[in-house]
Parts: sequence; structure tokens; C-alpha cells
Amino acid sequence: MSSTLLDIADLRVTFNTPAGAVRAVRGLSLDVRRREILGVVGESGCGKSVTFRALLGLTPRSATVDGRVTFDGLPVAEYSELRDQVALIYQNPGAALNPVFTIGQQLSLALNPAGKVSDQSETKTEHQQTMEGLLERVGLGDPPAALRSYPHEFSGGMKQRAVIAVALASDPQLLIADEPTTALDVTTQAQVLQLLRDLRDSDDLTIVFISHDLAVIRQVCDRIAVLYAGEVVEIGTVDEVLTAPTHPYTKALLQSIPTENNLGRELTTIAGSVPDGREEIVGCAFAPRCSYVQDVCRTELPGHRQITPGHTAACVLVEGEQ
Amino acid sequence: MRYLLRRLLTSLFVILGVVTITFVVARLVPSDPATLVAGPRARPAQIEQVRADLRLDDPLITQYVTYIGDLVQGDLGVSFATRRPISSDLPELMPATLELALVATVLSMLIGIPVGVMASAKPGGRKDSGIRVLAVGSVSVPVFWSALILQLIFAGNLGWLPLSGRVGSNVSFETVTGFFLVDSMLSGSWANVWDVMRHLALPVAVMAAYPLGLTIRLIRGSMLEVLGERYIEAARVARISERTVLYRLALKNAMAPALTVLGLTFAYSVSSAFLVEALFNWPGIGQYLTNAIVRVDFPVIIAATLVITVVYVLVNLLLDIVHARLDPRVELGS
Amino acid sequence: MTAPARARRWLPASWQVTPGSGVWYYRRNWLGMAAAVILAVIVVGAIAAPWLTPYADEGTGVPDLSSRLMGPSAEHWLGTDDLGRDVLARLLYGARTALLVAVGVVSLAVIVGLVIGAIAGYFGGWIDEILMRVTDVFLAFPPLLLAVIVAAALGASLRNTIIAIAVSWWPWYARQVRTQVLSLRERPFVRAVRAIGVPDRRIIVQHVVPNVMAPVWVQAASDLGASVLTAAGLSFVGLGPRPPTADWGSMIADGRQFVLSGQWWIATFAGVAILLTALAFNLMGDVIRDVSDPKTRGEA
Repeated sequence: MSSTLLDIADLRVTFNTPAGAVRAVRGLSLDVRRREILGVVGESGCGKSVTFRALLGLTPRSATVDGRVTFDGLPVAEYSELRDQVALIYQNPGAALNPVFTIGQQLSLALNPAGKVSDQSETKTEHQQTMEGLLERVGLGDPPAALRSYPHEFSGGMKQRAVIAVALASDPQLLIADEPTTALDVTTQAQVLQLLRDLRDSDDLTIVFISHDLAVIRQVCDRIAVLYAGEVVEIGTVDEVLTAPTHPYTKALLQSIPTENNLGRELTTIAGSVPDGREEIVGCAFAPRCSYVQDVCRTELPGHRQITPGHTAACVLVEGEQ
Repeated sequence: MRYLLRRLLTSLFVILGVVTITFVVARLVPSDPATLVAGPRARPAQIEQVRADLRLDDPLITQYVTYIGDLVQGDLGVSFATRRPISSDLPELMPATLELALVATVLSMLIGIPVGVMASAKPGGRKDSGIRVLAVGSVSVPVFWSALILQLIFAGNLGWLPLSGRVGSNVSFETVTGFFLVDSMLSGSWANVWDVMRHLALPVAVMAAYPLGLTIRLIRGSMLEVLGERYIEAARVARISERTVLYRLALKNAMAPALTVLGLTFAYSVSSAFLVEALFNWPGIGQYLTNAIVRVDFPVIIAATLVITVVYVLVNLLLDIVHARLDPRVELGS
Repeated sequence: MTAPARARRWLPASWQVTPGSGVWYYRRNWLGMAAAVILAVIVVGAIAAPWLTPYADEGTGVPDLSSRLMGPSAEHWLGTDDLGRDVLARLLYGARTALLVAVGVVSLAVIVGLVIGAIAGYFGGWIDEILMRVTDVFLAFPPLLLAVIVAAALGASLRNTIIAIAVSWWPWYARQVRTQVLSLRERPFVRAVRAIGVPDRRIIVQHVVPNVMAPVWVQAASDLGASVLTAAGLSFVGLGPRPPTADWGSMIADGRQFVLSGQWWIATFAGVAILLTALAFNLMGDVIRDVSDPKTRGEA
């Protein structure tokens, strides 16, 4: 069994709107290793959510998705197939729970999607025990009461735990967490992050953690992929990328937020703005805003070049093999 | 509990408002009520007498108070045409109209909701477009025209169904509830039940067309709103079958507007009753009202309007309560 | 800002004619286009009635007793009615009545509803309470009934038909507008304008109203269709425009008695006219609603 669980090669996602074609993901490649927590970082609109939603077949019918994706060694033909192995949790947990059904009803359906209890070897009490076990696993106290409750009776943190429980019900190999803590207060955030770490440690769960918050990423992730304008510009371990950022965008990003490296200094902003998704981009997407830009950057798309084994960046400035 | 009381109070106020408006409208009549009551050949002295009887010269406020007083006692006035108290005419007619409205409403919901869900499953697809065109068509067909066509085809040309009336002339059974479907079953004869159903067929078809189209459109729209929600997407990712997603998870959320539809449907049935009953010679309140309009029989017009409106208000109240119970987010008691 | 530009602000954004905009999308929808074509035909027919038929005076009501109750033929494409008048001519003139009523009713209802709803929503407090209670009472009547008794009280005529139906429809608009105004009132841009000291009346007209019009337009488009049906219903029971004014509903009422004896054309063709007009308005309203809201297109 190889160490790579999910391999994405040259993914392109284009939305076809009445206003024109919007290229949200432009040739993105990355790999997700088993039992790791991979952080996916980028500003709004860089395509971080779209990438993984496309993998689950959640793009509108008018969108086109191309690329080669392999999961668990097998190539993926129909993206919605991945739903068997992959689960998704959201930024707004309240929105992910059906308001007119109890947590128990929703959990029950997730455990038994076919909807028939009769051909299960489990009896009703075993089913109940499984559900209570799941709720305990995610840290929800008093499982029997929780199962009888409606989503609006829960706090934000409890709702997110419930969503995680529902996600775990299908026994996934991979969990995509799309900004799961952004809407939570700091204390609850820490609890949920701890929960995710536990799930990885004890349940062998692989997690992709999408966020725009570098501080949170650093707390919980093993490796980071930095996205810009629909492509991965730098990828490596958390230490490598955050202490030795190589791609100009990563460097600029780190300079614009407070870290221990720039204490007491003025924060910089990145001049210019993110490219418009409707335009074709020739060459490097970051070129118009890059302080190290060279002529070749505007004409040729730089491939990923290795800085150290496992740490690569898509920039011509990196000497080394591709 | 407090919600219930609050709604009851509001409804009472609304009913009072309705009574007031009806009163005002009645007084808008350009012609002189006294002349109308007394009849075309009355002499001036008789007209004066009628005017005194009806207290038409009293200040408006007094007339208003008397009017309300009469209503509370159940006196709905006397018909110009039949000269009988309206409160004795009306109760005989209500079951006929109610039966028609109920059957039409139930039928339009039973067919409309599943069809609306079907249409929302693949929006923009062929099935959906076809359903939408039919629904729009249903909503746009004028009632008297569809009645005409149906009568022409089914009663005239094909002779399958009767032209009008509630029962055939040779059929009779005891009227226990006034609802002929029930009564005919109680009479124990299947032939009677069959006859009643044959007579119900065309009027119900005509009456249910608009609510059917409306239900389909509203359910479809509501379902599409719900299907765009995150929790539906999450359910699909959790591999829940599309059938379950549509008919259980989405529909329960989409049903709230369905209750509004129920209210609208009932409202429409009530309003269209008076046209449909005229067309099919159906002895209900609608026909009573239509005849009154033609004969400018004002007390009847006012009284029938009042009764129908009050029933309508009460039904809406009921629906509101049911809606509150269906959605666990709405607290019944504050 | 130029006057046309100022006026255009009142239209929903999706109606601006730019590529990729709502109107562009509307044109791609064949149902909507079909509806628009039908409506165009009806409008042209109504306006150009006197020139489209050789029987213009019969259209306005002059009888021709020598050609009573004749079936469709080369001289009278849709036959003649019981007073010998050409049915097609009557239908064309009836279109005038129908369109007049539709536009009249919707305009009146929208204006009254808009004014009341905006005042109630903007000023709030006891003004809002009173206005809303009154609106509730009007809304309590089953749809057709209020129009019926008002029309019966005022007497049958074109003007009274319009008033009667508008009286029963304005409450819906008032409610909608009020809800929108209420949510808008607390939005930052409105509070900013108030803070500067712009007088209330200007705020309402220039800032608040253009933003609430979107759902109003959608409903107005559908209501045009509904008003044709309602008006026909009123005429059918004798509460519509008086003869000899051509009116589709009256034509059905008059023509109904002849159907079973074989002269089906009067009532049937009038019914078709009503059906097509209502259908076209409703379809147009549907497509407009789709254009304004991506979710009902199925493209959320």
C-alpha cells in the first residue's frame, strides 16, 4: 500500500456562466498522504474549496472538470464515486444539518444510506449504540439526549461535532474539512482542532484542512499546500514552508501577517489584486504582483522545482530539478 | 398556548374588520335599498314604511351597531328575493359547497405534491419543462371555459358523465350529513355512491385545475430552494439515496409553503365555487350568491360574503397552527 | 444622472440589457420568447383593431341582425354572435378591454400598495400597526369575493371593474413592500443617508423604493395574467363592462346558452382568447422570476 491516498494531477475546473467562462482551478497538482493532515491555504477565490468540491462531484452541471485523479491507487472515473470514501465538513455547521430532523434521525440515515434497516445484521439497539458511540467519539456529552435534539438546540461547537459525527458515520478514509473552525470562537476552535488530531491518531483518518488562517494551519497540519489563482505554488512540511518560504507569494503572505519573525515591524500588503477568473493567464499567475519578477515569468508557466525532497515551489527562482 | 390566544384575538379583530368593510360596501349601493325591498310596484307610503323598518334614516353608527348586534345573534338578514331569513337558507347549502371544495383541494394536493417534487428533481430537463407548461396551462384556464369544454366532450358527445347537478333524478338516499359521498355510503348502495361520484367528477375537475397548477409550481419552487441548501448537499455526500433526499429530507423542509398552498387552494376553491356552481347547477352557497348578484339581492350578497370570509379566516388560522407545529423552530408558546 | 438613467434605476438589475444579463438570458428561453410573441400579437391586435377587420363597427357593438349566429366561414372567420356581429372583430375589441383592465388593475394595485407599504415600513410604530391591521382585513377576504361585492355595489362598468379588482389586490403589494422596506431601513446605506440629513420623503423615493421593486415586478407580471381571468369571471356574472363594450367574459356568458344547441364558436373562441392571454402573461411572469433568481433555474 503506497503512502499516497489521493493524487491529483493537473486538475482544471471551469465554471460556464452567462458572463463568460471562469477558470477557478488551472492545472492544480498535489498529493495527500495517508494519516497526514494536509493544510490547504490561500486567499478567497484561489480555488481551495472548489478543488475538493469538484472531486466530490459538487460543482454545478454547467461546470467542466478535467484532470487525472487517483484514490487509493485506483484512477477515479466518476467524481461522485469518491463520496463512498471521502467525507466533507463545512465552515458553517448549522447549514449542514437539516433543521427539521433530529440529530439522531440524520445520523441514522448517514449510517444507513440505503434506508433499509431490515437487511442489516444490526438490531435496533445495536444501531442506537453505534450512534451513541459516534457521538461520544466526537465529544458530545449525553448522547441519548443529543440524539433526540434538533440542530437549533445546539451551540456552534456542538453542531460542528455533530457534523463530524455524521461525516464519520460513512467510515471515510479521507475527511475534507473546509474552514471548519472559522466560524467558531477560539476556545471551541481549539477543541475541534484537538478532536481532528485525535481522529487522525486513533482512527487512521487522513484529513485535508482548508483554511485562510495560517495560525490555525500551523497548529494542526503536517504539510501545507499554498494555493494562488487556482494552482499550487508551494508545498512542503509546515516547518519548511513557514520558516523557509520560497515562492514569492508565500513570502509576501507571511510578511503580511503577524508572526514571531516580524514582531514590531510594519506589516506589508501585496500590491495589486488576484487575477480575474475570466481571463486567460499566460505564464506565472503571480507575475504582475511579484517583486522578483523576471521576463520569463510572463511567458512561461514555471513547473514545480524541488528545494529539498518533499518541499517544492513553482517558481523560476528555485534552482534545482523539476 | 399564548401564540394560539394571540392568533385568535387577531382573527377576531380581522373578522370585525371584514364585517365593517362589508357593511361599508353595502352602503355604497347607489340605488335605494328601500325601493329594492319594497318592490317595483310599491307606493311611496309603502317605501317610507320599509325605510322606517330598515331604520335607513338612522345615523350610520346606529345602523352599524344594530347590524353587528343582529349578526352576533345569528340574524343574517332577510333575502330580498326569497323573503326568508338567510340564516335558515344557508346551512342547507354549506355542505354542498364544502364537499366540492374539499374533494377538489385534496385531489389537487395528492396529485400536485408528487408531481411538483418530480419536476424539481431535474430542473430544466424535459420532464420538468413539460410539467411546468402543464402547470402554467392549468393555472391559466378560465373556469367557465374548461367547464364548457368538459361538458361538451364528456356529457354532450361521449355521454359518459352527467351534465349538472349533484345526483341523478332517479337516485335518492337519506341526507344525514349533507355530504353526499358520506351519505351515499351510509345508504349502503354502491350504485348511489357511484352516482354521486359521477356527478362530482366534472365540477371537481374544473375546480381543481387551478389549485393543481398552483401546487405544482409552488412545491417545485420550494423544493428547488431547499435542494440548494448545504444540508441537502451534505446528505448527498453522505451517500443517501436521491429518492430519500427528495421525498424525505427535502420535502419536509419544502412543505411549509405547501401549507400556504393549502390555504391558497382552499381560498381559491371558495372563490371559484360560485362560478363553478353556476355552471353545473350545483346547489351550494356559490349558486346562492350568484343568483343574488344577478337579482341584486343585497342582504344575501353581504351575508354570504361574510360567512364565506369567516370560514376562510378560521381555516387560515388552523393552517397557521399546523404550520407552527410542523416546524420545530417556531415556538408555539413564547 | 440623466433622466432615463434615473428611471432605469427602478428596474431590477437583471433587466439591464447587457450581454450576459437577465434580458439576454430571457431571450434564450424559448418559452418566454413564445409568450412574448403571443403577447405582442394580442397587443397589436388590440391597438390596430379598427384596421385589422372590415367589421370594425360591429366590433364596437353595432348589430347586424341579418347575419345572426353564422358559423365560421370565409366572410366571418370565427363566425357571428347572436346579434350578428363578427366574432373576430368582437375579440379584437375585447382585447382592448382586457388589456385596459389588466394594466389598470395592476397599476392601481401596485401604486396603492407601494405607497401604503413604504409608509408603513419606513415610519414604523403605530402608523405601521394601523396600516397593517387594515391590510390584514383586506387580505382576509377570499380573492374573488371582495372584488365581487365591490363591483356589485358600485355597479357594472369598466372603471368599476378595475377599481373592484385593484381593491382586492393592493394588500399583497403593500405587505411585500413593507417587508422589504423594513429590512432595508436598517441597512447601513440608508442610515448613512439619514445621518446626513436628507429629508424622509426623498429617502423613500430615491433610495428605498428602487431597491424593493424587484419582487413587485415579478408579481406584477403574473398578476397581469390573473387579472384577465378575474375580470372575465366578473363579467361572466354580469359585473363587468356593460354592453355594447366588447368583453371576452361577457361573450362567454352570452354565448354559453348556444353551445349545446350547436353554435359553439362564440363561447369557445372567447375562451381561447382568455386562455392564451392569461397563459402568455403567466409564462412571461415565470420567466421573469427565473431570470431574477438563479435558484428556480436549477442552477444554484
